[in-house]
Amino acid sequence: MSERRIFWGSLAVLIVMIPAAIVVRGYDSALAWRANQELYPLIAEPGKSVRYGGAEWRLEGLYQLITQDKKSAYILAEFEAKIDNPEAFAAGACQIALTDRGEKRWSPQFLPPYEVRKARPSLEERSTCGGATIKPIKVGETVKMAEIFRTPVDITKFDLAISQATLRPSYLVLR
Amino acid sequence: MRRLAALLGVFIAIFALYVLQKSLPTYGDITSPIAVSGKTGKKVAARNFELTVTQLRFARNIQLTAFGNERSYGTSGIWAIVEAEAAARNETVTLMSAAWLGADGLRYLASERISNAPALLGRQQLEPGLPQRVLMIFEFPESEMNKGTLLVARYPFQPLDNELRIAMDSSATLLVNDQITLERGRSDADWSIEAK
Repeated sequence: MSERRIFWGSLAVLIVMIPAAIVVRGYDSALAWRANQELYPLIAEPGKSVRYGGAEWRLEGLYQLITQDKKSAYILAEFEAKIDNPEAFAAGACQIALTDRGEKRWSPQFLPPYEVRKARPSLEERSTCGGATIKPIKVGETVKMAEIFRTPVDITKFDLAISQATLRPSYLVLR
Repeated sequence: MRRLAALLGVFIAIFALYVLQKSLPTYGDITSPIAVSGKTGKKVAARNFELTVTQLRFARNIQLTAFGNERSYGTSGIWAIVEAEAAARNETVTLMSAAWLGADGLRYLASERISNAPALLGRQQLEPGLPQRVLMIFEFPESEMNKGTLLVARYPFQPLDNELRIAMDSSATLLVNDQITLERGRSDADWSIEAK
C-alpha cells in the first residue's frame, strides 16, 4: 500500500472516529440532560383536566392580588388532582412554575405571604404541590393544592407548568 | 538545502509544541466561572440575573434594629455595606455567592455575623421583571478598602456559569462612617439604611 493511500485512509478514519467518540462519550450526559428538561407539554385548556403522573389534573382558578407598592402582584394558583394511581402520583418530586407563555418562569413563594393568607383564608386547607406527594393518598381521592407566585403587575397571561422528575421531559401545562 | 529545510521544520515543530504546552489551560481554568466585568452604577448582566451596585459605604460599627431588638456589631477591621438592585432575568433565582476580592488577591465572603440584617442578597428570592434592593455586608481589614472587586454568582462553586466582577469605585467613598444604622420593617421590602 502506498504512503499516500495510508495517509488519506488514516485521515478518513479520523474524520469518522472523532465524531463517533464524541457521541459515545456524551450519550449518557445527553440522556441525563434530557431527563431534566421540560420538553413535551401535555396541555389542559381552561376548565379541562389532563392525565399526568397517576392523576387527573385541573386548574381551578388563578387569582391576582396587587401588593401595596402597586409594583408587583401575588398570583394564587389553586388546582386539584384526582388520584387514580397513588404510587405514580408520589413517584417523583413535583416541580412547579408559573410561566408567561414565553421565556419567563416564576417559582413559588416558600411561605404564603400575610396579604394572601388574609385575602384567602381557605388557603390553609390546601397543600403545596410538593407537600401533596408526601402524604398518604387513596385511590379516587381528590387532592386540593395551591401555590403562590410573585410577578410584575402587567403580566396577564399565565400558564402553570408542573412536572415530576420521573416523567420529564413530559410535563403538564394548566391554562 | 533540503536538509536545512527539514531541520528548520523540526525546530518549528518543537517550538510549536513548547508554546502549546505552556499555554495549556489547567483543569481549574477550564471549569472556572465565566467572568462578566462591570462598574459601580452600571447594570451588569449575567446569564440568569442582573445587578446594579448603587452605593458602597464603609463603617466601624453597624447598628441593627430588627424584630423590636437593637444590637450593635463592632469590628476590628472595617464593615463594607454594598447596596444594589438585583433581578432575575428569565427564571426565579437566589444568589448564594457574594465576595469582596481585595487588591492583593484575598477574597472575603459576605459576612454571616449579622444574619438578621434586612434584604441580604443570599436570602432574597429574585423574580424576573421585579428588581429588588439588596444588601451585601463584608468585614475585612482596613487595608482592603481600596480597589476592591465585588464578585457575585448564583452558587459559590458553579463551573462554567457567570460570575459578576464589579470594580468597586471606592475612591469617592473612602470616608469611613462611625456607624451605619440598619432598620428592618414589617415586610422584606420595608427597610432603611442611615449613615452617621
